[in-house]
Amino acid sequence: MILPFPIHVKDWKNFPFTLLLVGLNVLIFLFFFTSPTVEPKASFLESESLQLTGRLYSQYIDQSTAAKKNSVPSWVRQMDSHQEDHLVALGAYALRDADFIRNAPQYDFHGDVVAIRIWKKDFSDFRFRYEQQAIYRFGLSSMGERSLAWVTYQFSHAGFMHLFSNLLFLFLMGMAVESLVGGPALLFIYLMGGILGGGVFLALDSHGGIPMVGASASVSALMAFFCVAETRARVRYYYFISPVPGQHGAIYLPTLLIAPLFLVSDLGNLLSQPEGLGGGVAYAAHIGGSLFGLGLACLYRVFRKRWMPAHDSVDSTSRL
Amino acid sequence: MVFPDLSVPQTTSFSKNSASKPALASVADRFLAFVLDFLVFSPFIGLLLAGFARQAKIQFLVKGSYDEALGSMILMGAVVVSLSIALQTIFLFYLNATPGQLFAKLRVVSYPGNSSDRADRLSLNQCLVRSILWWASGMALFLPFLEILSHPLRRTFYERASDTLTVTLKTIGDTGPHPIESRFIASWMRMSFLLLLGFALLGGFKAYRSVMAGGSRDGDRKVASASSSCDEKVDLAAYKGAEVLDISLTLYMADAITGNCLLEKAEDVLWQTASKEEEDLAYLAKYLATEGDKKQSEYFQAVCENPDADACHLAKYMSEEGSLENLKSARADLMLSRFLLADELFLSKDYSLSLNLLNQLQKVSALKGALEKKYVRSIWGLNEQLRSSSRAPASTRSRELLDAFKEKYELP
Repeated sequence: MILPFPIHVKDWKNFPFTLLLVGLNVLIFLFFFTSPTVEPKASFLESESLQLTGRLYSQYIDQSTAAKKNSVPSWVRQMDSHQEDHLVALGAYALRDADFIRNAPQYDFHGDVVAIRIWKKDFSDFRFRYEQQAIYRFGLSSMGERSLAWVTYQFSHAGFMHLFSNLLFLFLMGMAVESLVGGPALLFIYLMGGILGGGVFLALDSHGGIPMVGASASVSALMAFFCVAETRARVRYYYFISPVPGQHGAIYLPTLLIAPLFLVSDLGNLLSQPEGLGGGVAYAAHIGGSLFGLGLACLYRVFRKRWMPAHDSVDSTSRL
Repeated sequence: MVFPDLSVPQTTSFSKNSASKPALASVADRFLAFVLDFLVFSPFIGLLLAGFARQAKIQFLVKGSYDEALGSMILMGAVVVSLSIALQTIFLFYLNATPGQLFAKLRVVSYPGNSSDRADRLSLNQCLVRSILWWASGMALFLPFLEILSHPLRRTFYERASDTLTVTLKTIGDTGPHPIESRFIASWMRMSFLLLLGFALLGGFKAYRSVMAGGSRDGDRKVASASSSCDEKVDLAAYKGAEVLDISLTLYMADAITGNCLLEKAEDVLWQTASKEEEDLAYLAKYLATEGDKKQSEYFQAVCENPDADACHLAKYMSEEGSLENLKSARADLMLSRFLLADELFLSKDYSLSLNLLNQLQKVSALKGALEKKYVRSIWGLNEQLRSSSRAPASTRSRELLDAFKEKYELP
């Protein structure tokens, strides 16, 4: 186990803006994401139902305009609607296609009229229940019409582990950035990093109907900003192999190594996913947030002396 | 050329050998370096392989071939190993340490040292051998790495083979394992190796036998999948249009095919451009084979959208309120109508007419075997009827039917 554990963690009370962001994330999760909601019917996502969805999606694509056909991933166009496993894959993709989700209830499908009638009813019910979910109301997707979602998604999390992992890094990186540029700038980087991360996510997934939630784009922006703004710093990590003396302790890793590794890792994961089949992590948003953080940090380094003449380059190990 | 004897453990401690040299690297530091190396190398290797991984996933999704997926995985594994060996070699050659070792303040030095002016620097050969054998040790389930715990100088197989030693730059070095600890771990490791070898031999033998028995697991899967399909049980390739569904419905009523098989045939028709008659028969098939009253009722409505359709008459006949009138309203040239009528005639003990209908139906090759039971049942009924009314003369037609049966089954 190896986790970042900066020295200044014990001074957490001196970082009110970081605590505010952490508190907001926790409160929103507790108030909106832990309350019981009507879950969408799981049967709609079972293989048999997905096959039917895939069959209908295949018709939908066949009868779409050339522009729509070109907008779907190439692997979708290669699918054979006579093979069951292909239909299941098509069905799974169809439920991510915002256009299909919007138009399917009114679309004139042909085939087994009874199955289509039952499917449309189940689909409307699935969509209604889905839209009642907090993840849809607060998340950012190309289906959403709420402009506030650009901000609310940054404070929303799908589950406890999602919240915990993001907040751990927000807490550590937030303190580092707040100590470097102050609270208002921290808020600016957090919000703008999230907005640009969301922008990149939507740009690369313009037809996706699955909403994105989480502070990870904002945290990526903070991390990238700090790592580039303080290239000479070393972050203290705590490692634990066993309780035996000498098998646990601190190790200092350079900041300049951390941001590129995260960026490269996100880029690799993004490029290895077939288009439209994300594995549940919005790597594009991470990259968007990181690029914003990197850009802002470069500007900060250029104008640091002009803006903050009193600021001295920090002795990094003492900071973190 | 004299090769060092790798089997003999070096028991002389490094510090005793040369007091000026740095101390041995501890097990924890080496493990930490390994974790850091993984964290540093994996994103870069992942990025280099991203395009290939994406293509492999798409190919698997589109073609669904396990063989190709396995081939891609093996190829990707080979690329990962090659890249990792290359990176390790470069770092060791230029920096005497991998990135993880740099952060953990470890260095890899030549041991027992060489006389050249490069002092502790490693040669390219040493770096390459060390990196390749590091991966070879990994492929042996990392068991050789246990030598870090047991060897007096914490030298594993790949270090001894490449004449290297991992040392720490920290002021306090590791003292090496206690002799008892060393012996215990070494014997445990040997035992694990033997077990691993045993399992490998067993696995190899089993794989050899399965290959010799004719087919890989994938082949077995394909055979299993084919045998469970509807087409395996009934070959209707020679028939076209509504006839396919008519035969399928008859086979289903004769218990020769399952409900799923009938549904499969109906789906084939409903999701393609089909004639009205075909659609009606497909909805009838769905009505008969679908489970759940609500769905059945919806399919009944779909069949009887046109109340004069043959399929609607047959559906009504097979519904709870059905009557013989409904059956008679359906076209008599439909195989399903004839089959149901043959059953009705059998129940009303009109065996001769029932047999006539069954004989007509058995001329359709797809129905021949499936209706054999019904045929024998009707013959038996006819025979019983003749025996019980032995005083009344049997009709010529009945005799003909019985003779045909005797001839068919070569009865005296």
